Amino acid sequence: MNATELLTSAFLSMRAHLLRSLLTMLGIFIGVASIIAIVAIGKGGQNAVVSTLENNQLRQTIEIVPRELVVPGIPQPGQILSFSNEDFDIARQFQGVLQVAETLYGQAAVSAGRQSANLMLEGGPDYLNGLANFSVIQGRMFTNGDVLTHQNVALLSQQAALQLFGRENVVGQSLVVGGQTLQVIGVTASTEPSLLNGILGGGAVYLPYTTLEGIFPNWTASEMDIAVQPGVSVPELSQRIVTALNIHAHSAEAFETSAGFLQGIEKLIGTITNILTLVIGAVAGIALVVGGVGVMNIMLVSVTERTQEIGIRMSLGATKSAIVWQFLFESMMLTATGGLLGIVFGVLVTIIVRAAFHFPVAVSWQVSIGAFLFSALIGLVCGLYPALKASRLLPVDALRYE
Amino acid sequence: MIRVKNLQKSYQMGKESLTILHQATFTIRQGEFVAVVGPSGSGKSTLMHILGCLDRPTSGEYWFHDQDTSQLTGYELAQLRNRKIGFVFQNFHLLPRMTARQNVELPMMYAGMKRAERRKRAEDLLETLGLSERLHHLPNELSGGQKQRVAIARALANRPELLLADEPTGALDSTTSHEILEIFQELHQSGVTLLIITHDYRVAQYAKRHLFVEDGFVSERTWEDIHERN
Repeated sequence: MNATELLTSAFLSMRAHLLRSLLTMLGIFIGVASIIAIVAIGKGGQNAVVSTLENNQLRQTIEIVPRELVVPGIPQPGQILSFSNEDFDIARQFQGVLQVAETLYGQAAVSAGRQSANLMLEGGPDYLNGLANFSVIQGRMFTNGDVLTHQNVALLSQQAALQLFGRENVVGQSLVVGGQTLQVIGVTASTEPSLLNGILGGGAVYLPYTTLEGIFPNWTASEMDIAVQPGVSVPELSQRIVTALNIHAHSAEAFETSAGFLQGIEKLIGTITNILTLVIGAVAGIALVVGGVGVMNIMLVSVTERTQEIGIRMSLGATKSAIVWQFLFESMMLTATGGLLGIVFGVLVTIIVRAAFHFPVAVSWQVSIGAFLFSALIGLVCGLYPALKASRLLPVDALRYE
Repeated sequence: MIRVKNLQKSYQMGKESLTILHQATFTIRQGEFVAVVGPSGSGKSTLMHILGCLDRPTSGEYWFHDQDTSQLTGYELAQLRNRKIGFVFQNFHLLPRMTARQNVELPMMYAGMKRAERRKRAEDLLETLGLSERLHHLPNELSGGQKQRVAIARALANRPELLLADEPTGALDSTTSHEILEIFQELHQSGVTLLIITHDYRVAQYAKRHLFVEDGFVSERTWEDIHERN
């Protein structure tokens, strides 16, 4: 008997007891599906952070934030939470620095007509870093001129536009923030389904920082945005500026680049995924073990049920190894099919997660292949004892078995 | 072709030893048509199992051609069953989930024959036995006589030298039995060595030679002798 014949025969045998086969596969199915899904979600989250980081590094800009924002907690006495004017002057003195601007963040009530919503406001320069993964889909971005002349203009994220106006085409409309009327000049959309966009830029209003400072004078600069000359190494320069700012603040840990901030988030996501992977991995492991035992059990039942068939096959010239392989293929067919269905279901779960939560997922084909092979291996291991048991039957005893 | 000397089969039942077959000695030559006759429980099935290499004797010798079967490994015995011996059982013993043709293909599959070749041979055999319309039927869609003809086709698949039939008409009515026995008759004429085990004297009369088994003792009898005793 060659592999094709064994596969065909195993398939027929699986189909003959369809319900029983499907129930037997359940453990393997659940184990594999959860592994595929959790790995895809964890990897997707990490990919999103990494791509955001890389995106920021490609731009010739540096963002510096107070470390307090990186490591949230109770502020120490004397902890620095914002930038002073001297800090900006220090940064401006570095060679290679083109322009230094600030970014202010905050939440405030924004109204348009009768609609109003509490939205995130981000005031920055025209090279606003918060827009790294966004593109202007309608209208235009504000210019350096708008910033210098305190223009009352704003861009809305798609989400904010829907919240305030119920539609996306809102260029030319006006909205009111803190008593100041702003004209909408553009609408932005996320360029990639990124986890960080969800965290940092849901329903947001972007405007020149000079304008935002005018509306909320007591908001402090929570981010320093530095435009760097082309050809200058961004990581090196940012390190030097951060060091200088820390020396000025008499603290080694006063400021941090926002790349560090993102890395902090990446680390956090990594920790969460690791814990999740561990927990779900344990559940999946138990499911696989229980599934494997179930397969072994059903194969033992099958061998007993088909004792006479084994006897007939032996009388027709089946060798011990032919009988062993027959049952091994059957148990492998069971677990591999369970694994395959598990992969399909796991991928389905990740698609649903992506659609429902806008969460980036990345199905790993290496893990999928690994899971498939592993499920086949479970079949091999768990089918071995029943298969050997079948092959050890004496032909005459097997034939006479009723 | 077959030489059996002092063949004995005993089972250990607790402390006592139960002997099913006592010191059987006989020879069967190529092309013979032999009936093993005896009442049920006489030990003739045990004899067939040993001759078919499905079971090993407790003691004694069994030579198949010039091969001492006690020296053969399990693998070699499987090969012997596959290539040299064909079985026909009382209850047909067809695999229920396989069609008639697949059942006939099975021994050729174990012999490693190519798919197209074995398919052709299976179809030819079934056609010879008048089953060309039943190739793709499952056993439960066939009548008893048809099932037994499929079983005969399967037994002949690898052109065995010895055909062993254990009560081949035991589950069939008399008309069908007659048809099956005619097939055996033709096989005998074409040179196949045949050994039929039966307790039915109407079946036994087709054979040219008779071995009588009673209480585990095997003896050579003439047809008249057996016939007169009943």
